Amino acid sequence: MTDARPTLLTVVVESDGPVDRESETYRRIVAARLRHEKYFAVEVLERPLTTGEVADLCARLTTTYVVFVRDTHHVPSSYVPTLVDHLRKRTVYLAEPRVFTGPIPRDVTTAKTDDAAVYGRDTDVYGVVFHTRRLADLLDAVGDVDRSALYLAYRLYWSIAKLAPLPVGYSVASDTKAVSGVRPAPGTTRLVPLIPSASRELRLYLLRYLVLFLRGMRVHKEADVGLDHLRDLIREYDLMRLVHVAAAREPLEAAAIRWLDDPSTERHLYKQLTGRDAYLEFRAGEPVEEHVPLYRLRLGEDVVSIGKSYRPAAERVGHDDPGTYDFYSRPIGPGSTILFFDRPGQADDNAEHLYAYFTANHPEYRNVYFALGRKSKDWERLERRGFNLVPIFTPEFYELFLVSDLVVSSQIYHLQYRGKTLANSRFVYLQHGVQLNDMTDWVIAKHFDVFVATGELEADYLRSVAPVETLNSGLPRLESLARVPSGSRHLLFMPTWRFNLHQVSTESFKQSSYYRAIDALFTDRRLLDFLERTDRSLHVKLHPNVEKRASTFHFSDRVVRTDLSYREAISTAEMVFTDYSSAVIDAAFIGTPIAYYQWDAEGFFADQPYESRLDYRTEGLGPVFSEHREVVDHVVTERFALPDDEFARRKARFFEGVDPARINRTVVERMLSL
Amino acid sequence: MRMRAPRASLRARAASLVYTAPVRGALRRVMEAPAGAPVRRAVEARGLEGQVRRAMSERLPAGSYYAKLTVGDWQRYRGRSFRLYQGAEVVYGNEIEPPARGSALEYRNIVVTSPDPKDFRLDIDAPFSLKIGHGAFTTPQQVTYDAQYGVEQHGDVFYSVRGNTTNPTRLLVTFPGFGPSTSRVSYAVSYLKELTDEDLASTMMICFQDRYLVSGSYMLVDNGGRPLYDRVHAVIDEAVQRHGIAAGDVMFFGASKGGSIAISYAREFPAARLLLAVPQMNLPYYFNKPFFKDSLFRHPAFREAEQPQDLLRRYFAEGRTIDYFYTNDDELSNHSLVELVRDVENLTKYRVGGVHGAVAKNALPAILGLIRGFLAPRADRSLTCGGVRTFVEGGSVRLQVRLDGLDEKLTARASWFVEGSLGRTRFLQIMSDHRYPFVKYMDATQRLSPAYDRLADIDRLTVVLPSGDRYSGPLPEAIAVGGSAAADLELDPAPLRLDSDAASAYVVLDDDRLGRFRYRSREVAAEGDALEVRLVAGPVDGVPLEAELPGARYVAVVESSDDGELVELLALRLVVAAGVDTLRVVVDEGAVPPEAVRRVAELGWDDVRVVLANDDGVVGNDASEELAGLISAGRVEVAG
Repeated sequence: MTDARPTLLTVVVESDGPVDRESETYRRIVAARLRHEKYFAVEVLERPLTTGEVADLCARLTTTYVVFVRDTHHVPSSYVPTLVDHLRKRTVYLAEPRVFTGPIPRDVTTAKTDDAAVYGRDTDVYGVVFHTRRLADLLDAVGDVDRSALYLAYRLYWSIAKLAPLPVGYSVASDTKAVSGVRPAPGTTRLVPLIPSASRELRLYLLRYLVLFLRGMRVHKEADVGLDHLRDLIREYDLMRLVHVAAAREPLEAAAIRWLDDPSTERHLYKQLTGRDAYLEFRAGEPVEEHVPLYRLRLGEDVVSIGKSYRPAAERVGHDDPGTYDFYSRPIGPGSTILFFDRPGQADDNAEHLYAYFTANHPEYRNVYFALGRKSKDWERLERRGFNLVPIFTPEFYELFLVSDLVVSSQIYHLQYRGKTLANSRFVYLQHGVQLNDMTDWVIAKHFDVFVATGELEADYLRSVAPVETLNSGLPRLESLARVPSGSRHLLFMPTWRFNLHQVSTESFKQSSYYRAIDALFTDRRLLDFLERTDRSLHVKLHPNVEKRASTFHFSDRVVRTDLSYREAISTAEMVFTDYSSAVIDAAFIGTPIAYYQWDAEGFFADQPYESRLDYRTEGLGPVFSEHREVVDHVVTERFALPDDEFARRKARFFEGVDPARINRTVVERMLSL
Repeated sequence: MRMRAPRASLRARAASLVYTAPVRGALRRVMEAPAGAPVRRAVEARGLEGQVRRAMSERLPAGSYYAKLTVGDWQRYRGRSFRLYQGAEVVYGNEIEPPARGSALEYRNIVVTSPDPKDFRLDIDAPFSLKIGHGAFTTPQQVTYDAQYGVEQHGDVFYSVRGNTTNPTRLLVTFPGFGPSTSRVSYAVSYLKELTDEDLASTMMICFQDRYLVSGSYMLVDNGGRPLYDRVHAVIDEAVQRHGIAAGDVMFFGASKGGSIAISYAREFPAARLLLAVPQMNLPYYFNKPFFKDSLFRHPAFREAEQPQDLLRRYFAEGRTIDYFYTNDDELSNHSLVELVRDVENLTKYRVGGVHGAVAKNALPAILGLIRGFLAPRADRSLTCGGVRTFVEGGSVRLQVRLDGLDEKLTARASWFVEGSLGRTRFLQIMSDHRYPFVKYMDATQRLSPAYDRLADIDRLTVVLPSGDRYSGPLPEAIAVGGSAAADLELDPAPLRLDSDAASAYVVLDDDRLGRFRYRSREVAAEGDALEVRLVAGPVDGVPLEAELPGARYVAVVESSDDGELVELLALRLVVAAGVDTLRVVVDEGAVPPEAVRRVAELGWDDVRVVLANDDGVVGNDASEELAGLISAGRVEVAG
């Protein structure tokens, strides 16, 4: 008798919980059985993949090769067939697809392979075929590294310097590691084994891994990996020669690597400002008092403090060198080029409103541009309004950026052109909304001259990491926002989004508490009766990420998806409620009652990269409900329309320092003084 | 064996016949025929062009020969100086540099007076060979080069002619610089390849070749040492006369050696424009370096000739139109004239940073632009300068300018300058391109000096494009140097004299160093062979102009205003001007610091003797440890 069990390949599908067998990824893997069933088996692992799990699998699996696929990742239909076809004909240590973090291009062989592209690759174990026995050998020898470093350790251990990827793609779907970094399992004392390699590709991967580790340190504050190992890693792989590749996107981590390499240089220029510059101050040990404290990290038995200081411009290297151009060297004046933009696809945010104010009130400025995607639906609208438009991210845009004296935006991009970046030029960050979450890790890592805050609470929070840059003026769009009576009465519901629902199947989506809570509201009989009785409707502004699932919700005559802009939807609503969206702050600002319906408050922040900064129940500008019944009661009893002293008091505190009539003027005064 | 001697004798007689004047003349007529002429085609078809060209080369005086020296195993001697002796006499010398890849190290056309190689030796033990004959030596590369650029021999003058040769209204005359000493093409032309037929539509361009001696004679003399001036001048004059070219429509151009030649041949064309880049102002002074010390420096013609600086001073006085590119880091060429000259009408000075050899290259867009501006004159266009930043570093100033509304054309190759006036003289300081096209700045080699640049009068930004277009606009603000800036010193680039009974001022400038002196000088004994320079601590007035040591022909007493800065260069200039072999420097107590004494003692001059007039207060204290070392090493003596 012949053993029918596949001997070639095992595809291990990892899921945090019960695997979504209707997901596209799972279906595509299983669909490959049609032609290749005898070659590969599928194993489901419904718990996080760890180094220990990998070791157990290697001991247990009988197939020559093993590949790990996470159920939230993307694979094309040709993924498994391509692997199988390749592995059937040869014996290899490793086979890998082209790994992407976003969509997989139609022709993966045309993907970029420059340093930035290599550096940007996710180097976790996923998507890559390992030789099972050789992986077991590795784990016997190097079983102490975190799962996230197994791929790198494997290549170092088996001296795989160069590897031609297969002509198929694999996508980890989103680059959440860029936000949350890598956190090795407790007890892990080294990132990778320090086995020499001169491979530029591997060194770039190692640089990326180190950066992600340092990013994770900022989130988690401690690890068992010591400074000595990090320094050895930098020197062994000569990462200082490559660190410039990381500097544009991860400037703080790049500065940390420079300090690790040369601890005697504790001060690293971080952001040029007007008259003085912001520096990062690294030191082994406790922080220095005069610095703005940013982080206190424990690495093994070492303590590292990271602070921020402001130093006179004259101390900056190159300050006295005419070969170095200082974008701050001439004051902003009527001849200056100033560039405004919101999102590429959508304007109608703070930059648009500030641009409109600025050009109306400062006609002497002749070179003011508003950048927008040429295909944006706002292009024609703004063109009709006489905006001086430039297509964003085009050569023309970059040339304007290069000669500009100031960039003003509600969006932060890593603008970089011929050596000009937001680190060495003026940038006013307007934000999209008020930060209700604690995003200090994100704020610290960004370059800006001015960070526009709304109210003292937010300003205080921002000042803790950016005391010089914070401006409590209020968001520009608020100044022109007003309650507008509309012909019909309506309420507005604006639910936000859940990161963990990115890749799920439609069926899984419909089983999620997110869908069930929202759809239950849409179909609540008491609510629908109330709307009918009072001739109101409930406008629903779905998050852009949910738009593609909109058809799964039960909309009706009284519960309708609105196509209005946020601004229009908010200004005409009688009452606005959300789960966690900061957009309701706009409504509160113009006196529209707001409310929160947080059916999943306990689990919500566990799945988000950021923690809530605001205690909604004690600081929120409207009531917070966790039960479906409560929010329906609040609406149908029209309690929302009653005056509430507590919320009025909270609102006054929340918006303290913002003069509704001078928001734009305050921002403009500050930006022209840079 | 018996047969060989008559055959060799026959060959020698045949060779002598070939080099006779009638045969040489006939061959020259053959090769002066148009390129496609049957007789030339026949010569070329038989592969005889090389021999014919050699046979038609310049006839040397009786008893003189051309020699080709080939040095073997040169790698061992790289960087070392060598001399070729004919008997006891040095006939050539140089510094060993690598030859072109795959080629032997050759020095061609050394003029000697013996046909026998056995009469020659090298002062290094490298293997060498000599070929000696009546005809000038050349290389295949030189032949190809000459053909490529249309260089033709006309009598003993070589040049190519291009552009409008039938009815030109302008004449552009160019002269070449030196190539690398070991080049296979020893004699180049300044062809300015970028100039097109269209550019030259109404201009005749004559590109002279300095095809004399090993690597050129500044076109002062031919291989036989006979003056060339009349023969070359006749070529230029004939072109002017034949085409009726207006006096003001002639331009002379040359870089380095070519610049010096241009100065020389502009002598009789006072209305012509002179476009110069780093010309040598004092040839013997320039030749005092390893490459030339045992060749051109020894040639009497260069000392006897009127020096370019003397001609140029005359041109300044005549108000000739002169555009002059230079660098401060080139005192050997400049001889402290162009750096300091000011208030000369129609003189425009372009200061370019970097070393001598980099100037023409770094300023090529402007040089081409000035030439094209001459070929087709056009008006300046305006330019907007958005801002200027001043960077003060010690005694110098560097600028950075920002341009607004940068025209696309101006982002291409161009020469950028800040411009101002030095009295009636225009002064332009070149700037560098920044990676941002709207920024121009002065790099470390491009500096302004408040001491002699009159910063207050630098008020424009100017760009010259290779096309000849020129844009200029005012700087938006004055150059701000603050209160620490040195005063304008009114430095006078007076000539150095050996007959200055009354105290005279002299200034030496070398890059960012400045040495100011007062001196007196005179000839004390015509039969002497030394120059004695006495460095005094106080004013030179009243100090007797007497030699302290025997054998002096000239005596100079010198007082330094700047702690002996550049005193060694002053001494060197004096001894070169004196034309004597020996330099003696007597240092009075406290005249200059020990460091200056050391520099004089280590001067690159074969016979230099430094004597401390008095060792009190000099030897033995801390400051003079350096001097004590020099004394114990025998490089400095103590009087008495």
